[in-house]
Amino acid sequence: MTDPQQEDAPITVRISTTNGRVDVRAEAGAPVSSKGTATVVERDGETTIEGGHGRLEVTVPEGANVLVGTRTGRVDVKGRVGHLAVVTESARIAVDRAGSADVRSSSGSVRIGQVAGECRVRSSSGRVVVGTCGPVDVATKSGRVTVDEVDGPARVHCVSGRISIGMASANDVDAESVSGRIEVSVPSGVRVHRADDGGDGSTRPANCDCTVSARSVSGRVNVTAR
Amino acid sequence: MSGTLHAAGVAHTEVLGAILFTDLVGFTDYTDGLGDAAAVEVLESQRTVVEDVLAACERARLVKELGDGLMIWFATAAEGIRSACELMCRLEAARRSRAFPLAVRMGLHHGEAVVRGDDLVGGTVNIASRVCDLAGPGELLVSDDVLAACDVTDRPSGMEPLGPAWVKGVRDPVWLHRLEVGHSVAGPN
Repeated sequence: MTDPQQEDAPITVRISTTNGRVDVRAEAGAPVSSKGTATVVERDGETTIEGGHGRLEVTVPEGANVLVGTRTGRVDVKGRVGHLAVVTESARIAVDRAGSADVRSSSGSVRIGQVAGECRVRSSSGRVVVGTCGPVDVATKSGRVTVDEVDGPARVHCVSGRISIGMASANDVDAESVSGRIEVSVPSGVRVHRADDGGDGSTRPANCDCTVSARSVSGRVNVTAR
Repeated sequence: MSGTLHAAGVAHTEVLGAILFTDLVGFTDYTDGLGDAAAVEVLESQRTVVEDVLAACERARLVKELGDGLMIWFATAAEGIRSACELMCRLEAARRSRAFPLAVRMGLHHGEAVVRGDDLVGGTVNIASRVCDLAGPGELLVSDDVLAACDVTDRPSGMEPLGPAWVKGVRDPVWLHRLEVGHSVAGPN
């Protein structure tokens, strides 16, 4: 007899490849399959797909947790996956939808459409664009960071590069750039406590809804209502 | 545990353990903005916390300081995880209370390292350094090898798998996990 809880639990697919493009497509009810030169190992409810050089196409069931590691190339994730983790030395990363995301790239742009939960991005260089997400945590060295709509606390740290954060609700913002401009927009009516010296919200006055801490050594800081 | 490695007729001692690399995020910019005296003050504060944490370890030592970074050796993976978490928690708490100005990032790997005077060198050290490079501010990343070297009861809760990471100069991927700071770490105590 099938344990319904086990049946509902999302599967985890781990993809490891050295060079070449990785295409992940999440489709409702689809079994895990791959195209390209790859070794597939299934163990303890996890599927590990090890590719080599060249393009690798992987289909996973919608909602599956996907972990991708690649040295160079491009990583494209289409459809809706569960937790997504991507670690790459240099690759362009594009993601449609994920339950939560952790994306790390030394170089190459990161473009994420929609994350229901927490969205975390680490990048040395390359532009980072996130559409809508829950709590967001982005750290880059250089490269512009744009997060369109955050529904949760936002933490963005950038050494050089412009930061643009759109808040969907009253949540704390901690944004820091050494030499880039910072723009934070909050929904109109939200009462903001500015704590640009690095306050964490613990000193927020009772009549404010959230704390925005935005610091740039040599760039302009703008907090606006929209 | 230690062994002997013979290379080019020269005997080297190898030591097993966990290697932790730490790095202060934005230290160069901080120094540039506030000057050398402020930078030295940060390093002294960090060192005080590190020495305090290491004093509670059975077998561990600060191998070297690398500018604003540190390389620390622990005899066991479990002690490495516990101490790295403790160090991270203390520095993050200090940062939140504004007693410490910068975020720290950390990478932990386990394996054998070659003893060279007071230093440790070799592949394990290189990988630990690369793992640290992948961490963000306030993050501790640990490799699969660290977890494999721990008893199940010593493994921390709250580990999030990051999957395979191809790190520069290393042939095989390193499987990584992210540890959320503040999560409880199981241990014999």
